[in-house]
Amino acid sequence: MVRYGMVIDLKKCIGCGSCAVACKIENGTPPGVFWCRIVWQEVGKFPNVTRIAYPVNCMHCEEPSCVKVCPTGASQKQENGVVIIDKEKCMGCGACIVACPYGVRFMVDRIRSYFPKEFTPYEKMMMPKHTQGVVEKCDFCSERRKNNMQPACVEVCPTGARYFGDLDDPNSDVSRLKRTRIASQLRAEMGTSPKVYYVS
Amino acid sequence: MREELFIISSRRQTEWGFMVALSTYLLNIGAGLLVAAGQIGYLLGSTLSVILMIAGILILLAHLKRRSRFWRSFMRPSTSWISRGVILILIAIVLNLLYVAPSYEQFSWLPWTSASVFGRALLLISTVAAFLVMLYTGFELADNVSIPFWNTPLLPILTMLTGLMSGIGIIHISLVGVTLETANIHFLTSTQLAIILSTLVVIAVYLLVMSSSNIAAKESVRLLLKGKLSPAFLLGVVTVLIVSLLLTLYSYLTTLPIPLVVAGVLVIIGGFILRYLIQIAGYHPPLA
Repeated sequence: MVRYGMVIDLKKCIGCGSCAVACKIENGTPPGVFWCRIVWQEVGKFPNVTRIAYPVNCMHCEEPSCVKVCPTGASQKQENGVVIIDKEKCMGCGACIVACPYGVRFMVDRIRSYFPKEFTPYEKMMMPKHTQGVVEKCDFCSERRKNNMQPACVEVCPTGARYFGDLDDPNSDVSRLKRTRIASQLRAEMGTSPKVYYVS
Repeated sequence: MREELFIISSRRQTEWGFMVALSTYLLNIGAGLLVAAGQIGYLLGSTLSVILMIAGILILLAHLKRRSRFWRSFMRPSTSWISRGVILILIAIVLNLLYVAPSYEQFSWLPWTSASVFGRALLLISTVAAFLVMLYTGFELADNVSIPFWNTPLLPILTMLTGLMSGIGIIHISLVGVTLETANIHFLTSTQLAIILSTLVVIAVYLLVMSSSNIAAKESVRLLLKGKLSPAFLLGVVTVLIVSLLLTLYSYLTTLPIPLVVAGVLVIIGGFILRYLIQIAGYHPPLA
């Protein structure tokens, strides 16, 4: 059985936001909902300061706190390690949003357009993918994976900073990078064991 | 757009606000009243406790975005404190209703009374469930490792104390219209003194522990003691609880009921403000 994970090379990432835009386009997420986003960190002391871009999406944790707190069983971890939300079971209590240390879950309060007057044809096409009053997040592009395609964020990255694959396959890019480079996880001390690794 | 989503910094939780605080506080206060009223055989208090808990559930339902799926919240007691909580609330409400029902004329046909062995058993089980409900309202927050300010066993202790304190507060308020046995009032008043004092001590220890914890917990403490929530915390919680402690002590020494009634109102207000502030002061630590 595969165990999907992602490795993000911070040395290659230029913070262009292509992944966040590609995610928006692929999944048609409503305004205010970001399955993928870039988070900036300022490091150093004046005048030697710089900014580091952290592309952040669901970490698909090995021990997901969102799954633990979900009272309805809507948040689930699949056998392939991908954490998903069953929209038919979610009652919109928000417990998983509170429990997630990464802020990658969003409540779809209202499906609205990016534009003031009406929904664009593209928005109308993507609307059925989203349900009002339930929580949403990245699912490593489940639709694309069914067609043996990489997640949209990985596909579009102009610098090739994102790698996606089977963490249990020693020959996969993700395993190799994790093995050969210094790999870290965000908020590893929380015990959630995220499956998105950052190498630098 | 929330700026903190795009920069590495502590991020305040905004998902659970007033409605969740009100709902959990009503559940807490209802459970506290159930325990306190059960101890002195105060059936009106037991009935009111059920009403408060039902009100808490209704407000919780109002908070949910998909109310028709509420029944699903009973499905995951093995891992979810919300699941455990709703089951415990249901047990406390149903058993307490069965306990008080024979006392009302319409249900006098029931084959047991509140004083019978079966009635006492119902009271005992519903009291245990109510104790667990009070703890649940704390564990609901304390179970979140993602918010260090909540992630402490002191929180369930605090919610249990505030639940009992507010429950006894309601009984004290009802002294305006109801005559209770002097021995019972004396017992409740001395218990209330100990509870208010313990609550103040636990709050102090809680803040002290959190002020030496990680950056997000420190930020929460700063927000409560020096930030924009400090007036509400220092006046609405600390001052209110100290004043209610003094009023309760005065009433205990003089047996005057009015200060006790005022103290009852104050502990309910203080308890709610405490719950609300702890909830909205929760910060997620920076991502890196």
